[in-house]
Amino acid sequence: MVLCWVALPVFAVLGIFSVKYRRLTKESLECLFMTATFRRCRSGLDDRIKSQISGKLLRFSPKSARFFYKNYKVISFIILVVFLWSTYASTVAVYNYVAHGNCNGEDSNGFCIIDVVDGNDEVYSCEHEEVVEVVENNSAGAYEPCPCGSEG
Amino acid sequence: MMFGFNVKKTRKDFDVLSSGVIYFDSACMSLKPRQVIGKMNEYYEKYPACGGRSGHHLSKKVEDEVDLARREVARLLNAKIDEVIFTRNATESINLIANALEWKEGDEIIVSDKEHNSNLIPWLKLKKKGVKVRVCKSNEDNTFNLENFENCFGEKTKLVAIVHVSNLDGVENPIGEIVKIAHKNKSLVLVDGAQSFPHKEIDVKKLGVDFFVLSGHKALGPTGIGVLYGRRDLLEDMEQFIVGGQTVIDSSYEGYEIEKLPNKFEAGLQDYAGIVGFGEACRYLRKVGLKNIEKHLNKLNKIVTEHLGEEKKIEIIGPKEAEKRSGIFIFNVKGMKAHDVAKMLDASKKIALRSGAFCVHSWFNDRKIEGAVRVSFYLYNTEEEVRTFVESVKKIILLV
Repeated sequence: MVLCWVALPVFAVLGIFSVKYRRLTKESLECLFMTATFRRCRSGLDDRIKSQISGKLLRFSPKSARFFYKNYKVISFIILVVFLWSTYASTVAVYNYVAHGNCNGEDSNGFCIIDVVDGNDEVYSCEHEEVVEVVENNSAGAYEPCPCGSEG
Repeated sequence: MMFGFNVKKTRKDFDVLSSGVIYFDSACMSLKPRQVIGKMNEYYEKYPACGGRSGHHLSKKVEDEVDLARREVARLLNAKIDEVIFTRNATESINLIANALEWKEGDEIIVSDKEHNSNLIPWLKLKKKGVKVRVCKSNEDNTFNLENFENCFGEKTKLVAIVHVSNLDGVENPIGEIVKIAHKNKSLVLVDGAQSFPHKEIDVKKLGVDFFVLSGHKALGPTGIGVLYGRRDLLEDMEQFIVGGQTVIDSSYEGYEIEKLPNKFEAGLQDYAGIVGFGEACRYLRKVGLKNIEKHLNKLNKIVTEHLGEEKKIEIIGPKEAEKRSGIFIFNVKGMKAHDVAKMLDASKKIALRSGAFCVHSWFNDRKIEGAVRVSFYLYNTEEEVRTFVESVKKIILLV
């Protein structure tokens, strides 16, 4: 039942492109509604996902399949927690970006994948000298120099 | 290899098998050989006209081909050609009988406790007309109980509607004995042969049945075609069910003159492609030999029963002996849902089989069993496939 919560947005996005996923989205939605109202999810979507993944794992590693099958609920719960955390983090980041122009919040210089304007989306590497030069010659001068510098 | 039957050679006629699928769901729907598909294409490409109406050469060709197909079916059943009525499937054939026979309040129908919904619901529906339905209980191991059956008869028992080979567990009912008892009690017998026709030699005259129904899609034929065999005298006396074009010789604003058999029951434009395709399927079955098919299925069922029958985590439904279960092996893995097992077999080894209640909900509900996994073999299945299945199930058992 737990996995339906995660499956819903995933299938909803995939459903834009495929009818198959629209049906699954509907099932996930129904399941989510049932779970939210403290009733048993009758669609069996969770079981199908469990069996499908266990079956695929059986092909390569029966031990992994057994582990997955036995601990499915715990694994689903972990996935749900990760999903909720990432949803929360993404929401905050989008809010920050809209409100402050930077996904990390006001006056932050941290990495931001959607912050194209200020250059916070650049990934620095100490292995390439050209990058180091860009950092050192950055006119904004707002960045810390690469800690390994030219020795990198 | 049996005389005249080579599995490897047979498999070449079924293109879908080259995809690597292990198809164990033939009790639901058999695969179709390319000869059947070719014959259907031939209709659409070479003579796509309507039969029995127009007088041109294409229409005559359709009539000839339909006639040949009807002869093929009649030959396999040992019936007369006008006793073979084409329908959409076995379900429609049963509904035809349920609606065409004359029912009076208090009339009784006997069914077994393992009937497919198609051979139960049409009779339950008649309860509205005051008809009673009596359910004859099977033995503990799901085999037929003749004593119970004899005790089911009442003074007004009009019909016994019974399955020949059960789609639930593959158990064959003793139709010969059933017919003798029923006729002694002045009752008619309708046999649901959807599962027996594709797997064993049928002789409706020898069995002595009054009606025999079957579906084309379980016997290498296309979907949407079925057959009702009925004793000629009964069919002639029976009321029509669906009426319209083809079922009458002439009509006026006041009335109509009913056609002769088999047209009397074949209303509207028929599924000609389906009929000629099914005729070809019957020809194919005849060439392979139904005895060979029966032996082959028993052999495969023995292998799977030997390997999985002793497993503690496996529960076989029905008799333990493979020879009593035709080409069907139905089981549950203790501690695991049937749908889970089926899904895992599909995901791990492309094994296509069915899980659930197989349209025999009444039996499962009565025993409070949620469902089961059903393996159903056919002529294109190999021992190697069965071994792959056994190994996969053994791996799945370890998950519990």
